[in-house]
Amino acid sequence: MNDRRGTWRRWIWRGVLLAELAVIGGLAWRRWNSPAVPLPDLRQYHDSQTADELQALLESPPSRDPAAWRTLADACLAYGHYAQADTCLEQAWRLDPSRDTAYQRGLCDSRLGRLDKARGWFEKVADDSGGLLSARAWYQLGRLALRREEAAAATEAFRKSGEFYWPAVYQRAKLLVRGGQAAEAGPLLEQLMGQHRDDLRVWQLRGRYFEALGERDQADRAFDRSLRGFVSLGLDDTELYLRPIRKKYGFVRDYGVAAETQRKSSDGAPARALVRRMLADPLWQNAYLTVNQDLAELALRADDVDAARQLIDRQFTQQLYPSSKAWELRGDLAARGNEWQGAREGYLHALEINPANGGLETLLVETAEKLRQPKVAAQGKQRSLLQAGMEMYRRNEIADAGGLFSQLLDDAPDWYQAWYYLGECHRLRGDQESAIESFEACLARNPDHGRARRSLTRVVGNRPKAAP
Amino acid sequence: MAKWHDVWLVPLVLLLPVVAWWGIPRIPPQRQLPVEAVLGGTRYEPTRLPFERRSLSDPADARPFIAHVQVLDFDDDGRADVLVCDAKQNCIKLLSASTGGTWSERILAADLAAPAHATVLDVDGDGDRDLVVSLLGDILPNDGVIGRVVWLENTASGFETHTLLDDVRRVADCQAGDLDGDGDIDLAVAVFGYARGQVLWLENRGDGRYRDHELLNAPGTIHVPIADYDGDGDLDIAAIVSQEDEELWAFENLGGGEFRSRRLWFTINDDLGSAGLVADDLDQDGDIDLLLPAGDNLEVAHAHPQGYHGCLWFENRGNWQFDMRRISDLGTTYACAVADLDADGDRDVVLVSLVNNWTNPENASVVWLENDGQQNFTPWQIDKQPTHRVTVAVGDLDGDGRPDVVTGGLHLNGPFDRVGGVVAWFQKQGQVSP
Repeated sequence: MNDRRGTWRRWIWRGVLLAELAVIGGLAWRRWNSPAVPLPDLRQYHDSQTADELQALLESPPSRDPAAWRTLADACLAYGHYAQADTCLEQAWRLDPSRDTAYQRGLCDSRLGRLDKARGWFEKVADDSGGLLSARAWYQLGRLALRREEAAAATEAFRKSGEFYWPAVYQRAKLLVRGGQAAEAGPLLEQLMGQHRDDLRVWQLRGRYFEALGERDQADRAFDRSLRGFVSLGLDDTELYLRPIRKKYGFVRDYGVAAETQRKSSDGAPARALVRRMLADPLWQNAYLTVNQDLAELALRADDVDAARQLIDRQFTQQLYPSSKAWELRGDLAARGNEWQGAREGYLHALEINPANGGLETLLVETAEKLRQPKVAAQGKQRSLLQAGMEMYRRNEIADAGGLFSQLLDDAPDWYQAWYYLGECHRLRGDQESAIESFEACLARNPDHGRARRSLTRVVGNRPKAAP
Repeated sequence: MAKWHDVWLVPLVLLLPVVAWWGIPRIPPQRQLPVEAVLGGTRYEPTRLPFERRSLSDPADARPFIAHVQVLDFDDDGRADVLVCDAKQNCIKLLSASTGGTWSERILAADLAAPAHATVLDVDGDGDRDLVVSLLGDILPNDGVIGRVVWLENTASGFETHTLLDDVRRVADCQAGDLDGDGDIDLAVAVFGYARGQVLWLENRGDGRYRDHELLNAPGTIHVPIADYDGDGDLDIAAIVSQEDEELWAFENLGGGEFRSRRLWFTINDDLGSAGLVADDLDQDGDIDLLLPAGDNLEVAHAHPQGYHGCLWFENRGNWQFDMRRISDLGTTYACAVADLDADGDRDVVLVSLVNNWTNPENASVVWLENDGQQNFTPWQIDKQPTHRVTVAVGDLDGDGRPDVVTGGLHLNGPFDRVGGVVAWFQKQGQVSP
């Protein structure tokens, strides 16, 4: 009885085993036959971590999940492996011919220079729904038309992108200004000004608009204002789409995580681990140009002085990249060891390469104080004030910038650059007499300052004429 | 008594799913999806002029960033040298040939932030060669006020740096000529910047002092070649603007330091990627034409060759009329040089490419366009490696009377398997058999 029960049990186990083998064999066969994306040699493009991560993703592609194929395509697109992205999107499209996939395929073909195909994809997405994806697709169709030099088609596509899709409004205005119909661009520019008041491109376009209308003074004012603007209007949809994707993979992601952790919680452990890993990576040169100095800065903040030193030495001796930042970090390393002369040399090299870095002036002041060089420290403070004022001026913080220039000139009236910028601050605040005085003071110290001469001419020309 | 396979049966049944769970995802998929590996990029018939490739620069630099090369006899020894702007090592180098044909490298000046161009002239009139260097401040896109023009004064103890222009954005080019007709040498300056830029001319005021005058407010000016474009006996300035707009400008010299701005050409294709401007009488009809290599799309993180890339020839028809003709479709064309490469009496063109889809190893990195004498051009591929070429010059490097080609590489992105810094192609005698 027991024997029979034992025999049955054995047969059951054998049966289960056979069933398992059949299922596993089937799954293995399916896996063996599943689609594979042919790989470029990723180690010729990326650091080890990024290459291995992308390779693992591409070696184990999803077979039936369109969203996963699209994610994979995004990774390939973001890192410039367009042919692979195209293959992944083809799979995604077969599984799910959605508008999102069509839009992505348009982006990919657009990057590959297949303009006709890209147009076909965007046309599948662009409709009259007024939705964001549709607006973006019309915008892309407009950009494609520009690339084909078809102005009318571009104008029409940008128009269909909608009145509130600002990059398209900008492009329409620009086409009008460049196409000899500047007068019609006025309302569009007004709309843009309402939405992107500080955008430098909008101010530049406004300058071109007034130029085309023959209003030289207005044009000068607009160009002048563009020098104190910033970019708030993103015109390249594709880069805006791809940039965050790059931060999801490999070294760039880990660097972001380490820096953020350090910033938020002063926890340097992830930074130290990342730095050690990259120090040992034989493919570190494939990362990007500033990898060593970026990591050295991170290491210094995490108090890993040895690693920072190794990275900076590597940047000088192996990468052959003596950048201003690398010299500055050399200075920082010397300062950590209280080697003030070494610190000063590092900072001086850094400043020689990048004289516009006001932060370096501050560091030089500190080292001069440590080295008991009061004259050098005083001069450094003046240069530091000048740079700080210029940076404020460029950020359109005119009143504060003017205050700094006045403060500097009270102590040291020979800084002709400070006189010029102080004059500009006065001019922009409408104080023409003070502006003239400042420009003249600048030219008295440097008669060849062309911009001061031009500004002086402008202000004198705009001065209200005295009553007869 | 149970047999051995019965003993293992139960653990086997239990373990097998675990092994499968671990192992199956590790099986490499074998159904290769079709990838159009040759997506984009251009390649041509191999040249029949025999060239021998040789690297001239230090091989220790694994990722060179060479911004500019030019061929000249800098040290007056009767042999051609190559003057190099190295935008990563932040220096100006001179590559010189020894009598044995080996090349050595000497740093003329360091601590120069991303030099883009060096102009050789005698600034102080003391009879030696000085350098005026255009400094970007950063080779990567940057809209900061970090550019400069510096004069490297040739002294007995080396080159001394003097700043001629600062408080400007990235400077990409500086050309010299007497622009106001007062007998001294003035400068035309391309302030490339990024989102903001200018074209300036610097009036020589003597004693190393220059006064800046603005000619154009526009970002992305790359080159400002000076020549007498209208044949009236004075020097005019041409400029290619490439960033927000793609426009070709001329500044007609009216005398006395006055200029009239003329927009000679523009395209609404803001992605064209103008990459430079070369003045040359390509058709040898006695006036100066312009050549525009197009394919700089570095604003895109990973640029790819496009159908509209190549080289545009602007034929000077007189009276400031320039007819544009596309003479090459080389993907991401980044620079061009003009010379009579095949010694048949006409002007040929050499082009280099930055990112001609290097996943296809057959795509061209250096080509030359053979002129049939009627300005019909046939492209010939000189080489497919090294990749990532951004600057080219032509000159007789080995003194054999035949023009050679020298290029510089900017290896920003991969692939990094065909890297080269300053690389030359020496033209040999005879012809390669087809």
